Amino acid sequence: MRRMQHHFSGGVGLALVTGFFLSVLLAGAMSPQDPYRQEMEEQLLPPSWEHLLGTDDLGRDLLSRVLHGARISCLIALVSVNTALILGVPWGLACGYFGGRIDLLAMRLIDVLLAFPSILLAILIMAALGPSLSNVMVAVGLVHVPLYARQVRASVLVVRDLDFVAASRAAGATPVRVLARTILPNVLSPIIVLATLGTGTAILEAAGLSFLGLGGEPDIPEWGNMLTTTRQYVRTHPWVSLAPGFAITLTVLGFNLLGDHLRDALDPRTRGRL
Amino acid sequence: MRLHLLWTRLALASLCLSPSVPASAASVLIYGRGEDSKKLDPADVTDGESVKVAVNVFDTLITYAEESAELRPGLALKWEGSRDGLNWIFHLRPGVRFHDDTPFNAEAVLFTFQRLLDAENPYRFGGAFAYSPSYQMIESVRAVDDLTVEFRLKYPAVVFLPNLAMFPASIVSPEAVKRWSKDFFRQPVGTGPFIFQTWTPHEKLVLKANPGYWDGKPGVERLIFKPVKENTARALQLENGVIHLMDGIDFADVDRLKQAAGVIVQTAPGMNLAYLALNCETRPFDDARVRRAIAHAVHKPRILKLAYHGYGQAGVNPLPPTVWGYHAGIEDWPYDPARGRTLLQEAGLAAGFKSQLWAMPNPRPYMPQPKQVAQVIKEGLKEIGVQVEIVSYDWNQYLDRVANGEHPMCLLGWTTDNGDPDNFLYELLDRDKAVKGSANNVCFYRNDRLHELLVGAQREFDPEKRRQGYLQAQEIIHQDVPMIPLAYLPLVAAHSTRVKGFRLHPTGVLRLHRVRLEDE
Repeated sequence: MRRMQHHFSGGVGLALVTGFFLSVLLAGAMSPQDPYRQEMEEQLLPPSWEHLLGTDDLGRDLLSRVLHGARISCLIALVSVNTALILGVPWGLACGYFGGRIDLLAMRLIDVLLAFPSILLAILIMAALGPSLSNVMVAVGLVHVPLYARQVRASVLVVRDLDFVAASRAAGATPVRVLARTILPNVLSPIIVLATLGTGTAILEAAGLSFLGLGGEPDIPEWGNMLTTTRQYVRTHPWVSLAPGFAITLTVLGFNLLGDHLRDALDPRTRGRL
Repeated sequence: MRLHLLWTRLALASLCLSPSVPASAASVLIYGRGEDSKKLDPADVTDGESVKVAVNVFDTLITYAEESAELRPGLALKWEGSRDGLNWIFHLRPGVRFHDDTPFNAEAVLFTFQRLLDAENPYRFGGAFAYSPSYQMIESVRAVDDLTVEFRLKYPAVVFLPNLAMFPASIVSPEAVKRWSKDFFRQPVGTGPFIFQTWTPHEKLVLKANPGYWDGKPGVERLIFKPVKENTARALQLENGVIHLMDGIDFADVDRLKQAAGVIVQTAPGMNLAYLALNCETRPFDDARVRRAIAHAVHKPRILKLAYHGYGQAGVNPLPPTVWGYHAGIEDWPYDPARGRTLLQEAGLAAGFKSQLWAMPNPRPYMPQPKQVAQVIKEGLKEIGVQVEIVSYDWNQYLDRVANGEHPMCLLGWTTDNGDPDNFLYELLDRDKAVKGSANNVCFYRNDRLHELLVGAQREFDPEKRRQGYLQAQEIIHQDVPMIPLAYLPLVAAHSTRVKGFRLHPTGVLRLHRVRLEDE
């Protein structure tokens, strides 16, 4: 029963994520309209066959905007998760492997960063960088660095003293080689899980920052941006907010379900039972 | 059934518990608006949100009639001018006291105007006063006796009296200015119907009634100005009774609000202008052909339909048709991207160019949705090959940067101070007003011929000749396109049915002196 539930939610996650990537790849082909085209006579139209999700206050087709928004969200996820990986993984590897004073200092810094609510930290970084979509990506990435560093360090601590690592060291491998060739492959699965879950979080946090007006220009069909520029119509014309709102929800849900499923699938303790 | 009983009991209990509210405690009027004030020193403000508060704390020598821009006695009981229009004697209202209990007298008037006119005045804080040039016709002010003041003018000026009714000429308490010095803008002391109490920036600004006000005690005990950025959130607060009176209503929301229980929507023709300023000091907008190309790319009907929901009237001249002297004969540059591209080609910019379009971060009375307006303009500009990035700053920063000329193109607007054409044309486009740091002419447009006409009109007493001057001025502006007038808007305010005695003033001046709040 439990297994079936897991397979089911994992499947839903996979389906949602697949849908997300399909719209990323085919946004151009699937969009009925240019997402920027404004039609004077088509302001705030409710969903219909012509406009499946309706139109917004400037007469733009919402389906086209939501589909193009997937591309932007994908880019945000790619850039920010990779920023977090590139900085966080080596950090965690070094701390876990070398230990001692470096570990102590570096991890206290991580603790300090983790003490901030992530959105607050992101806003702080945005305040320094200035509002724009690319800065949103960087800010979200930087905020996630400590999460990766901590996870990787914990995993390294588990494998660091195992025999095959000692063997590699005894064979004369340099620390860098030990870390890259021996340890990294063995701590990869939690990183994959974290990156999958982190993708959802990154999309959500980026949308949050855009919603606060830090995402750059108002006409960009970024989902958070679409929400913030049309939120005054929530009560009178709900579909303008529902479209980007559902897009965010479903995408983040998809990545979370998939991430959870991967965690269970890759966890050696549960692997046998699945 | 059990549940019903329980509810009934709870309701009964709450009835017994709710204390009887005394009538006077209920008369706290909460005014919801889109932004906070910037400063409260009447000589040193330009933004509407600051003026809204200042006009309720301060008085001017001359004031407006209840429902028009006609002049009425304020702190001056009467005034008379010499035949040549150069000498003006003002008889001050006796027995008026400032909120700090110092007397209002000729000395206070002298102090106020010296501060306003003299750039070296030690009590002038925060740099140049944007409105000082509006009073430059004044040569000297002299106290004849304690309650009589004489103004000597350098030249006869028609705008002298209307400008005295404007908020920058509010009479300030000399003692308070000296006492608070640099902090006066946070501690305003005047003679007005309301006394300043506290100000928590971005949260609330509290005034209390001046019981000894010369024009009668105000109708409410306290007045709270509460910034609520979101138009819909503000409307919701009005419907729920959190605030009693508000401005900045989304036009998409007007019809719904009119239906809402307990809410009254008031509209009145406005004297305002929303415009797109082109910074004539920066390239490529220093070329009139480029500016006209931009004018051909701005689709005003689309802006009105999409960003104003069909309310308002397309702008043609830099002053609205509700102000006399409006040139009805000027035909607007039509939306014509092909013509725009040709003009750019002539200017050597066949490939188009990149620029920035600045948009206000919050709704303004003349532009409830600046970001939507910016997006419509951006799409139009693409048609002539001009790619703009929409840029926005925090409102205070936006005003400072724009007055400093840091923008290539910006959205802005104007609500009249005194209902005179001079207050639009001279204020927004004369070279006197293009001083970096305190500019109202944010187009940084400097045209000597226009300057001559506008200054000439200020000294012309024959109304018809003055009108001719303004008509010519509008023709020059139309040809030169330093700004693109976008829209003229009706004034809209909404209030709870409990609010009585509130009327929109055509000048947009917010007067809350006679507003009352009835018990629920």
